[in-house]
Amino acid sequence: MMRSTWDHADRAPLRIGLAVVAAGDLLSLVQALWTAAPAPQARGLALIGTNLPALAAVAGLGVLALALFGAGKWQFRSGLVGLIALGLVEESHTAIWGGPKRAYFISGTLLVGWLLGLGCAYAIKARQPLASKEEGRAFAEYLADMGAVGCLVAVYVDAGISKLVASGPAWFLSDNLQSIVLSLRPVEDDSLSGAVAVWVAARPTLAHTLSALGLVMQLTAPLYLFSRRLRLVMGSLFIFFHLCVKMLVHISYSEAIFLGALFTYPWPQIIAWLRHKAPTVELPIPENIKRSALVSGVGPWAVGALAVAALAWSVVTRPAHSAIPQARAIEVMGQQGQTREYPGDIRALLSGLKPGDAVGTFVVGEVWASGQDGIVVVCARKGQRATVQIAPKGRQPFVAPQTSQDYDLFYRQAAEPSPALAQLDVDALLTVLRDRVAQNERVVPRPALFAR
Amino acid sequence: MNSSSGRPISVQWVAMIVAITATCGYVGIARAVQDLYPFSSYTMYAGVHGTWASRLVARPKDGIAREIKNFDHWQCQDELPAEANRTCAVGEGFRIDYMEAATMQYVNSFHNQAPGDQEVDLVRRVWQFDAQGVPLPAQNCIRRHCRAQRIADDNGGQR
Repeated sequence: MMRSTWDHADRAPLRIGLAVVAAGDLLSLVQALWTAAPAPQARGLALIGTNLPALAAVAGLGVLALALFGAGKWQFRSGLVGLIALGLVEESHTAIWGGPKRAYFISGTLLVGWLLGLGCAYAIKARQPLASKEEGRAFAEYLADMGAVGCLVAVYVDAGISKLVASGPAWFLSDNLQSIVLSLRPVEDDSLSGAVAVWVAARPTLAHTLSALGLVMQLTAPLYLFSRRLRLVMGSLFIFFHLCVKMLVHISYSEAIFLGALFTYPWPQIIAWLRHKAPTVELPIPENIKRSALVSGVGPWAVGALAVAALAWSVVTRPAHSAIPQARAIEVMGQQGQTREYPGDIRALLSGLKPGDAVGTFVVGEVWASGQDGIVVVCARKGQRATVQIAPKGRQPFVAPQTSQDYDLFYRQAAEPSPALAQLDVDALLTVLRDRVAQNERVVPRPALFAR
Repeated sequence: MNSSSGRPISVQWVAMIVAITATCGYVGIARAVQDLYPFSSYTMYAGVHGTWASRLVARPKDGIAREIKNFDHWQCQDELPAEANRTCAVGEGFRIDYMEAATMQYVNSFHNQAPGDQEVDLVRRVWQFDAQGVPLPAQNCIRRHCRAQRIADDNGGQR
């Protein structure tokens, strides 16, 4: 049975808390964009972040919409507008900085779930009128609460799945956690948490155990949905997990902690208990719903959610962001349907580079070019593969790790499984190719492919 | 509407269906798009890393590693070749790329300013692990020789 720790209570504090966190995230992102250095190569969504009037307009609209959402006015529409504004600003931030700010995703995630629940409730109410407006609102926010926690749970499950898919059991059997702790902990950290972090990093068995427990917690997160008691237990574990992450590696997910605590604990009962009073609000919720109202009300939303997931799966070819803007994967590389060629003027730019040639400690496997991708050089070395893209300067919306006078050079790991390269190897590979280009770019004419 | 379609169902089951739809929908979309607000599959730190860990630090003449952001007026010489220091070529390992990118952006942000008054090395601090997985004492791989200036804190001391 699906029960919430907020049963029989007014869920307005959930809605208000969610709106406040979402508005705070929106303003934090706007501030980051506002103070960012100008990005002359901005295009697409990044244009919003570099155009102050547009940024102010989106932010203003978003904050207004979230305020209305918090106040319960036109909840679905105002929440949706707030979510779109957040999405525009976050994706603009991603386009400019080279990677998403995931700590700010959680409010949008819960907002999506809340809107899903509201949509289902409205659809059911349209087919089965409820006794009163009050009952209708309580019912809608009950389902909104469930939709929001459904998405909250999904975040942890998804993070767990990602670890299993990427690493399997090696994720907790290797030196992963210790590596992360040592690489993130400030060297001048004399605090107690710093000492604990060092203590954990020096104990492989403890580190492996903590990693395994974290993974188990993430994969069993759906238990949160099944009873009030499990909601308390799993919600507390979510919060404990974030506090451990904060202590060990100084990564703060304060929004997730706040919203997790807000949705997990029965605050109306706690506050009433602290005041030595009984909870006063008893909101009516219908006990039963007609099956036909459920099928025709929730069905389209469920089918819609699955359809969107399937569509996204098949259509969206966007890979994960590399964390590093300078060495970021070039996401448009290797798209199917492009014409790959290796014309003479590009060959001249690379001093006649061809498959089999040595490039530093690598050997060239493939080299080709297209108008969209620029020049692509695929290299290999002892089972390792690396791909370098050479594009006319400013054509790609990313900061290049190396540049010549007219060209940007980017690196990405091979799409197929391949041991990761050390940064020094990447730097060396890029340097060799940059030197080739720099040597020729003033001498040979600009390739016709790039003049198109 | 026939009689079977009008049979009631507990509102708690309705809530369960909504919650599970939300969970499955989010996971499905996030697995597909990887990172598209507000969907993310949270892939950071999901991979298995190499045999060492590292981070960039500042090392002034006293030899004590400091945070790079506790210095300003950075002016650095070209990066040293990896062969210049054996510690720099220990194999595959782990670094937090976005942190290093932000660090280098910070260091490079002083290129129009006068250099600092101290000799400071930009150092990659490397921790290797022994066979039991216990980290060995940190080694220092010098990447650049620089000049920088220690930032004074609000009380007149040094950060």
